[in-house]
Amino acid sequence: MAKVKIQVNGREVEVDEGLNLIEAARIAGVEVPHFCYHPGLGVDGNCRQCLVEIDGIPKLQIACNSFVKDGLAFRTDTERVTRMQAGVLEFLFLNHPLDCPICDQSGECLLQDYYISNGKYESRLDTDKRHKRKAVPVGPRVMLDAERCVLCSRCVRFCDKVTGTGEMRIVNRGNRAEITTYPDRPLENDYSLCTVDVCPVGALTSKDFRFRKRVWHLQSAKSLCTGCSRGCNVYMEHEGGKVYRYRPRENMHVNDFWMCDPGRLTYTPLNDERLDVAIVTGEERTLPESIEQVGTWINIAVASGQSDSVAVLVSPQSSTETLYAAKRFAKDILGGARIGGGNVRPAGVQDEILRRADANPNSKGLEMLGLSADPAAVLSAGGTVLLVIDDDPLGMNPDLAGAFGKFEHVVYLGSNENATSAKAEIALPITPHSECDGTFVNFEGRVQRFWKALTPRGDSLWSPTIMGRIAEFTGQEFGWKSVRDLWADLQKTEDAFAAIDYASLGEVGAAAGSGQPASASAE
Amino acid sequence: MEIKRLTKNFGNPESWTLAAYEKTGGYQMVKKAFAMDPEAIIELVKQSGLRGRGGAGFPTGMKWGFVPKQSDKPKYLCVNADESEPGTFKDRYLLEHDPHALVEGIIISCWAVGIRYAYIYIRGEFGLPYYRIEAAVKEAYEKGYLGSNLNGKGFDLDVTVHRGAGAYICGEETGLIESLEGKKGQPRLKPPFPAVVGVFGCPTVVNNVETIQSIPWIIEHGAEEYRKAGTEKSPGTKLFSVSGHVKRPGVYEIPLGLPCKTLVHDLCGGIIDGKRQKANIVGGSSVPILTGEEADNVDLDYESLAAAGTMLGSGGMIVMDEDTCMVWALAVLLKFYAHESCGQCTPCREGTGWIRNLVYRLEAGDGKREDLDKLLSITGNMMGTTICVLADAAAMPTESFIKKFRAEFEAHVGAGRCPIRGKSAHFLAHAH
Ligand SMILES: Cc1cc2nc3c(=O)[nH]c(=O)nc-3n(C[C@H](O)[C@H](O)[C@H](O)COP(=O)(O)O)c2cc1C
Ligand code: SF4
Ligand code: SF4
Ligand code: SF4
Ligand code: FES
Repeated sequence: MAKVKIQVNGREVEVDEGLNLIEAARIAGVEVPHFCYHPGLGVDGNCRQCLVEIDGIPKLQIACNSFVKDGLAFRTDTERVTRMQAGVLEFLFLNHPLDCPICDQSGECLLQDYYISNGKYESRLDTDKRHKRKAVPVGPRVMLDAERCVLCSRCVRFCDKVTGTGEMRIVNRGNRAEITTYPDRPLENDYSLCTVDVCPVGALTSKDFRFRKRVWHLQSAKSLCTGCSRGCNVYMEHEGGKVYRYRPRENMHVNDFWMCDPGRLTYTPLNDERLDVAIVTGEERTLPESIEQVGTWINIAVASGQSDSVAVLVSPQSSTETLYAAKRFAKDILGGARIGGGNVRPAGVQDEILRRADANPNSKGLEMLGLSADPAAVLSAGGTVLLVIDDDPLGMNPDLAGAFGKFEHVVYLGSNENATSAKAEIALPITPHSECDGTFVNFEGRVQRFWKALTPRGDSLWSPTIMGRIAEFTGQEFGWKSVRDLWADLQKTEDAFAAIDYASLGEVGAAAGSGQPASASAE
Repeated sequence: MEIKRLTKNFGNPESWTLAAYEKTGGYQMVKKAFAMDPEAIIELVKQSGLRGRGGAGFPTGMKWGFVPKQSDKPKYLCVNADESEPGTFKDRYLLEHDPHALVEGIIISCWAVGIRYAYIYIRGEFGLPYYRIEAAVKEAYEKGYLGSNLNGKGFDLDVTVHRGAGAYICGEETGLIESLEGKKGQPRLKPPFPAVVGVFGCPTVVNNVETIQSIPWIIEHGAEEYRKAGTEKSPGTKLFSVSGHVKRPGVYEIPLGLPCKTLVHDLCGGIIDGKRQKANIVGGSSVPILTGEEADNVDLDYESLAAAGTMLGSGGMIVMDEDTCMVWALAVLLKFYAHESCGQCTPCREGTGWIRNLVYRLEAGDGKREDLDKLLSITGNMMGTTICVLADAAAMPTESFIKKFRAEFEAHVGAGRCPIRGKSAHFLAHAH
């Protein structure tokens, strides 16, 4: 797209031709207050908050529906703009309830933000406020407070344009206008919680998150959803060692601005039923002594020339790093022992928007590392030690119990207590993707990073570290202190990853194999 | 003083029937137009200087010129018969008395602009006008004036009468289009303009009934003759619907530029009981009010009214005598605008309700002195900031009422009641 030179508040910047003035101002580091415009939902022009002064046009114009061309100059800092923007804001507050102390949006509410940055006038609202419906469950996951609604129509446009389900409507006119759903047609599409994200105020709130945490207490880390092989980019928001919610993080190559509801609620295992200490035959043990026990078994097998009696069952749920460490463990330490993916999650729902039937976040990574997804070959002959890494194969497929029983020792490396950890003779705690850096490869072959959000719970350790410690008992070591170290090896030894440099993955990831830059693989 | 061009058939026996219309030369101008080059008709309309009679006064020939000549989509005409502006009832008369003249105007206009389909969007509350225009369209089809191959050279035209559901905002041209498409009637963000993206995404002309009904006359008599009535910049005649405290309210077709005084005091017989004219809203409820004295010194044309700080609008004149309470009158107007705001733009949705409530309070005698400046400041924040001009249409009268009749508003505050009507809770009881 052609670049043009424009002036924002007198400062020259170069931007893409055709951009609207809200986006153009953003590039210049200037925030134009706005409610109805959303980059994923387009222009509607109803809130009138984004008024700016464009050189040569006497009337103020809305920035969302004005577009840059070469030489255009506009200002957001004049007395007139400030006054008129404050006027619009005042109108929005006229019938807005004073709910901030009990409103979940408090702290991430555009009304509050703009009041602080622009308004802060003396209140002269002394007429009665209109009353509308409060605390209405408009769907299984979303609550509505119609009094707080600023009628920006973002939720309406989301359900019209993104999901095509059209549940939300504004009915009635004037200040009787009210956001609502149709009778007997609740807001229950698979993306309904995105309406909560786009809602600029506290009108739509998530039942899951409501009243659980003040948002200003939350910290945020860039992460990925592990609900399916799409790998939607998310913010993982947490406090006090606990994850409270996922919010979609913009990535135009993967999920635009959205994520599905089932995926959004997949954060709970990061908090609950965690395996955070080592368990040996049902009893808590220290991690070093537990590792020593496993290391001893492995060493015996290796030293006695029976390394092929050890098998490694991996999972497309695991990070690329875990899978690579397991592969190296099988190859270098065990001299090519049986390794393969076992616990493939059953296929889920696939749709035209984001959801993929493959419910595993890293099937592609497994495939790119040349690891089979068929547990039969790994388990068939039994042996001395079975290392099961991640997820819950026994929980998902109880029939595997027989095959597990053909091993003398079953060792589980995982992050949650489940059927597999219960069955294992030794269970070792490894960090889930909330507690370490790493990558998943999505169904399109896009390698995407997730960032460490929390300190590891209890005794949990990064799985490559635990595998390295076990390996030490055979007199070998991997020497990876960080994801970067591991990736240096990965890039050298795995052709499929040769073109990808971990350091250059950035926030939006990169397409694997092809060596293309990230932008070249958009759908 | 009156010049009867569009109203010439008013009063003829059964003037609304095809037979009566044809007797007075009806549909002859269609033949004349078909013999003309469409471009030449647009040029003629430009020459005539005809300006849109729906309120904005936009030059009609120029509007037609904005429609793309080549279009792979069909083009549409929407005749705006939603007439809902308080004080305005001229289109209703045209539809009741001379509906075939509208049909004839539609045929000629569509031929000129290359339009395939026309809609007549008529106000839902109109009963008789609806039956009359519906019957006229039916008769015109039966007689072969509408339908296919009208000129023997493949010109097809279909006309549909569409009844609105009773919303003022569906008179705004893009609100009309949304409503016609079956959606909630609310104005569209512009650009794009209807001439390019209109009804069903196709190029569309929206014109007022009176505008379209002027076309046959212009074809018959030519641009020069048309300009013989009116002023240089406001040529032609205009229908004024006069209501309020005049002796003979009604619809008057007058040459533009006629002194307002002549219309009020001569044609309409002056103020009832010989009282004083306190105020006059000359162009329909959306325009700034004039004092009686100002009204008596202004001419009724676009420029003179603009110079006097008001507008010609739709020509819906509301005359008020000396006993009218201006606070009451403003409360009546604001009740309307707050009710009719479509509610999508923040300043209009909230502003109309806010100023209405403040004026209700003042009317009841419960207002505060500072409410007056507050009102002026609120209206200042409403004007020029919205998708359509309904916000301005509520704000401008409010501003003018307060500026011109401030003492009356202050008297309400001072007395704690209306000095003319006494203590009242009429509006407050209806505040919602
Ligand atoms: C709130 C609002 C209401 C309107 N109502 C009408 C109406 O009832 N009839 C009409 O002809 N024009 C109405 N208009 C003007 C139309 O938008 C449009 O300008 C007009 O129909 C164009 O026709 P003209 O060029 O022939 O005047 C209204 C405009 C606004 C903003
Ligand atoms: S509920 Fe929220 S997103 Fe929907 S219209 Fe209201 S403020 Fe906008
Ligand atoms: S589509 Fe897949 S990756 Fe995206 S949010 Fe849903 S489950 Fe998570
Ligand atoms: S100005 Fe008022 S009536 Fe017009 S579009 Fe905006 S809210 Fe609707
Ligand atoms: S963001 Fe521009 S009008 Fe709402």
